[in-house]
Amino acid sequence: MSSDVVHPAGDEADLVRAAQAGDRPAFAVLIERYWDRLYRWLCRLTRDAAAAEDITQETFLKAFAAVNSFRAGSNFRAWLFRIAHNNFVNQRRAARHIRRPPVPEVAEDWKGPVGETISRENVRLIAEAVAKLPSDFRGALVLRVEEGLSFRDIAEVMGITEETARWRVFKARQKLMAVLAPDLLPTAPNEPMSS
Amino acid sequence: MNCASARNRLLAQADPADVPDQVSGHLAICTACSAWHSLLVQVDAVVLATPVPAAPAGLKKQLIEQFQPIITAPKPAPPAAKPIVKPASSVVVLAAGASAGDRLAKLWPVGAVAAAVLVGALGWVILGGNSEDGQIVGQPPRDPMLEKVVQAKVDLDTAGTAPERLKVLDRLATDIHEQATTLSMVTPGAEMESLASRYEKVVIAGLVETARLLTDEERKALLDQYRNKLGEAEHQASRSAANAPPGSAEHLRHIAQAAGEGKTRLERMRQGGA
Repeated sequence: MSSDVVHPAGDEADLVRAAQAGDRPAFAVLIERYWDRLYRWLCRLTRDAAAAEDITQETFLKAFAAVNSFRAGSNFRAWLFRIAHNNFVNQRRAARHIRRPPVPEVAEDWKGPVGETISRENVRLIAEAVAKLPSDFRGALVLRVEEGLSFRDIAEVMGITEETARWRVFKARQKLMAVLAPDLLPTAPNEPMSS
Repeated sequence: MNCASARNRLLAQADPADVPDQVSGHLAICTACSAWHSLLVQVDAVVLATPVPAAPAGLKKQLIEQFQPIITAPKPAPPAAKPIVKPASSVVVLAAGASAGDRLAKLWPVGAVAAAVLVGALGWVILGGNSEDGQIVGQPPRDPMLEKVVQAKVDLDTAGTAPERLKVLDRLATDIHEQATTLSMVTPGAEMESLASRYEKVVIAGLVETARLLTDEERKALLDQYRNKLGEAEHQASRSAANAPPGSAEHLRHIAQAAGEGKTRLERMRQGGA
């Protein structure tokens, strides 16, 4: 059964309020809505599908436990991703010594509009370069590109300043461009002093 | 505007496809930067389109089931009598499959979500269900056991010291033991077995191993207390086992043995052993 049977097309703020009042099916709708995108982001962060899946589940359980601490009117998605990011940091700390095989960044049967306009070689180069980015840069870039989060929201998710969020996305793009166009590099702006 | 500052401005854009007015003039006259900008826009597109491995649907489905109301099968007949005692939780999930156990157990120090499922199923059975044929049950009550497990997981992650973690694990072990005691009279079988093995895991792999991380002073201050609690749990579980129906007794004895083993190991530690 779909959760939306119980909460058809529920407005997010209503769903959160209902979850805060103990309405579990409302929270199930939020899981349904955010699971895939959270998993995708964590997959890119961890480069480990199993770890990403575990952290995704853990994130929702923690979010449910803490849902009453969510402030009405703020960004639920950013709040959820913030919990996920904290879990990711904890997981990375705990498993620092464990090396797992990385997630393949480019499927063998890469197709689609991007593949038609960029050479396959460039796609491969970019995907490899994304994989090699420090996870903080990769996480910020994907939040911006895939989730469309503002720099302010990225800052909230990653527990950094807005300036640092902007700088991380800048640096991530710059590093990727260095792979694609190594002889056309601009100079970087000053690194923010603190995050 | 020179090439470097134009590219810096583009890199700093939230969306590189949005070209600031000051930069667009430069792009119009500089073919190198124009080509560079095209590439930059494509980078975002590639990031967006880079596939990730598809997540198996199982874990998501299992989690959602934990939060959903149940759809009941048509009632064959009205219940003969309503229960005298309402269970601690009536709940949410009848549908969680057996495969939930492995992954949840991996995530949680105890697979007590399974216990929540069990409590839910039990509550439903005892109450006889209160919806008419195949209807969706309304707002389900809160599930105390699931909430305890969720809270324990959160507390474990935020506990900064071994004594703090010990406290959480001790509480979790007590909760599982209480749950097993409550359910032992009415649901013998695999669920009791699962609870007993989770209890053992929390005590032996969790509590005892965490106790090893205590400093000498902390051991002196804390080990007696936890050893005594495990001794009490051993005693209570043995007593419950004596009165439990077949199918439950052996699992309560399992809990008693685990508590006893934990008590012995903590005692050894208190005396200076490993």
